[in-house]
Amino acid sequence: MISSKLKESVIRAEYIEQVALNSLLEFYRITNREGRDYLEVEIFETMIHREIMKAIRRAEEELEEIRKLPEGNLSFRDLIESLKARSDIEKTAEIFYQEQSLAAPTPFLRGLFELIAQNEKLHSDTLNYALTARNSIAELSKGSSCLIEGSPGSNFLRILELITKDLKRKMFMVKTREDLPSVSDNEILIIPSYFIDRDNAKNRRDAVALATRLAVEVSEKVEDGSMLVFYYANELCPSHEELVYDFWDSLINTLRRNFKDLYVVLVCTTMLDGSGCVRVYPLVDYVVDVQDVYGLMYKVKKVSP
Amino acid sequence: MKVLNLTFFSLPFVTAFIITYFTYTSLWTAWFDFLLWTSVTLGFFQFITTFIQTKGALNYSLPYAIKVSKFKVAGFVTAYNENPEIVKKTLLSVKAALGNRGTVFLLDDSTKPEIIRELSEFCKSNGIVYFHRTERRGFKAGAINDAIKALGDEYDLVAIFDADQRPTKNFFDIVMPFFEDPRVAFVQVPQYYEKSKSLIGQGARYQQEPFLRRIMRGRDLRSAFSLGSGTVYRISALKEVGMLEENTVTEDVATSVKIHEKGYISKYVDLPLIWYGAPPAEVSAYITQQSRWALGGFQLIGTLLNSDLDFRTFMDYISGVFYWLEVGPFTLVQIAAPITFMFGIYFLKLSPMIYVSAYVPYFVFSLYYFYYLMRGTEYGLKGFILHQALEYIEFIGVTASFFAWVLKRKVPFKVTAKGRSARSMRPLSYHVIILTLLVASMVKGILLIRGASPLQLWSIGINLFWASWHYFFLITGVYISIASMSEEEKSYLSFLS
Repeated sequence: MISSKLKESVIRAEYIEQVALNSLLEFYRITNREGRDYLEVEIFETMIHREIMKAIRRAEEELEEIRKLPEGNLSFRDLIESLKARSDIEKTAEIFYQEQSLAAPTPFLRGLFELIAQNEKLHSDTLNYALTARNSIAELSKGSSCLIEGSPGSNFLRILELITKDLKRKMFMVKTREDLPSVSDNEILIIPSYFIDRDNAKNRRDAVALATRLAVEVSEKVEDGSMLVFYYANELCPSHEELVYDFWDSLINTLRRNFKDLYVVLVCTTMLDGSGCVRVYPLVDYVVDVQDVYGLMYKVKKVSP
Repeated sequence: MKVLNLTFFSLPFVTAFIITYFTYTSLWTAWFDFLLWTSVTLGFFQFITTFIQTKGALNYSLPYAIKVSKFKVAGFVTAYNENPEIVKKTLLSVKAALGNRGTVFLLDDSTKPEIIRELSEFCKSNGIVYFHRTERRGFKAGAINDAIKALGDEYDLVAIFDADQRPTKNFFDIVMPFFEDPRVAFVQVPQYYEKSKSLIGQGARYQQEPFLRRIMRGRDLRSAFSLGSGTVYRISALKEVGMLEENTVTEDVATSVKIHEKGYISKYVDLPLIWYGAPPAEVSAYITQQSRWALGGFQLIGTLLNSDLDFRTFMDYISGVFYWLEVGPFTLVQIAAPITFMFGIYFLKLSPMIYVSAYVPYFVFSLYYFYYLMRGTEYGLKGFILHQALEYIEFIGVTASFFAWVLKRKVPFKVTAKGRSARSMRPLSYHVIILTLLVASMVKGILLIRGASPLQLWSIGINLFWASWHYFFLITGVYISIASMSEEEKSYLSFLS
């Protein structure tokens, strides 16, 4: 659930909070009544920060243990139906935290309870949406290409796992960075020589040449009848916005010429200004818009006839 | 094959001998005439081989995409009384780059107990295997060979890093796939010199540019040789050639020859996969480094002449030997030529008009070709001047290495200093003597102009040109050496003067 990087951050945060707390306690010991009143709120909230960090770490450890439990037979569809039947638990929790937030004595606690209430609501909403979302992912197998788009940090891998499961194809993953997570045994790494040429691509001819050569090299490493993922696609295309379409057009067409049957997936991160791989829409059959970092909220739209 | 190789090697000398036959003035000076012509023919053959090599370099390209490979790697960091802080950072870089693909080993031949203790404790607490020898048989090559023998058959590849050369995080991701080709015995990445405030450091960096960007690229997939650090070997290939060569000061090149002789090829990956490297910052460290490399080059002559290398590969290697001859003893000959002429020793009988009409176009073309070759790199005019000036600074050290090789002397070499050492002006005393002689010859040349015939004017002009050329680069070399000294060394220099 959480990456090793986040795990490190959580441990560091826990340590920082403890250091801060120690420092506050030192002052607490030597200050007068008025000073103590002032410090108490800060000490209390710092303790909560520390405990939250601790809780994240423990929850992850607990989850690791739970993952070891043997798999059952209950299908995803049946699971959702069963959870829906017990959705009143989530609703009760949501109302409970809302009430707590109103009664909370400090702004921090009020915000914390509000956040938990919102999260409980999100759980209910996701539950109602889960089956529709899953069915829409199944729709993707009717096409031959899709674009998965979302903000950086979105759980693209979860969507990829679902697509792989539906397509039942061998996955080849073209990675733009070596530190991206591994989900396939067949990984193709883009090396800096590519990025040097990408940065030098100034016009349509350069972009087409770059795309064609990349497609040819990738084709040599991929099998017909497989699924080819470009992760992250937006790091592959030249920086000039007007070259993006030509680049992907050449790349996808070269791949299509080299294989009878190849499913192409482009994973793309949206920028802060909301722009992403919009220019690629006409070249793919579907766009999966990932809206939640856990990959439970996404929208699939068909973009080509 | 051997006959062809031997013929090629002897051509510059035979050509020089033939020209000497037609141009010598007396038997007493014929030997100097021959040496001067040899310097010209060596330069010409070196230019031709570089021309052929670099033609390939212009078509050099690396793949865009590589299939991630799974080999088990032993990452060796070699150290000998190096600053432990530098070694520790390199060890951590190698560990980060290697990840779960293998093990990091520190091959520490240090003799100082405090360094041994500090590094062994560091290795223990960071999951690094510490390997220490009490006797330094075979120096760095011996340490690597001993460690490989101790590994057994557990690892497929061995990566070698000097204590001050740190790999980037993606080093192994990029290098390993090239070993999918069974013909590839080793992969070499360029060494990296970080930007230095010292002019010597900057010059050393520029000096590497033509070699790393053009020569090595031109030798890719044929005769690119190991640079001693940033090399990843296929262990089975190393074992097949009897491991690293231990009886030479440049074990990397000698081992590369053995590997190429067996028909293996080597891959040169010209990408910035080493992110830290300290250049020699002052003149004595620089001369020590270059002299060691030169001695390695000279020691290679016998190996090359006895080898079964194919002609193209032999030509690549012998070009390196020609380079060291040219930079070392034959630079001395070239500098001596205008001096002897100006002081009335006429050792060469040739119309200056023939010399000008034959040599000037070649000289201009070789300069232009060099400029053409280095376009698009950060070399430029500054790089050219610093590079040439450093070659004039190193020539005495390289010449000393040549004579050490001729006399079969074992020169005890220090590790190239990674900082500044005291009294680095000592090697410059020879340069100051030569500069004085050059100035005297130029003054004498100017005095000779008065009353000279038109033909003599041409001769004086040619010699004045060469004396000025040598003077310019030599004085620039001395200047950058002094400018690269520490304040302590500068105060010592002013005390002496």
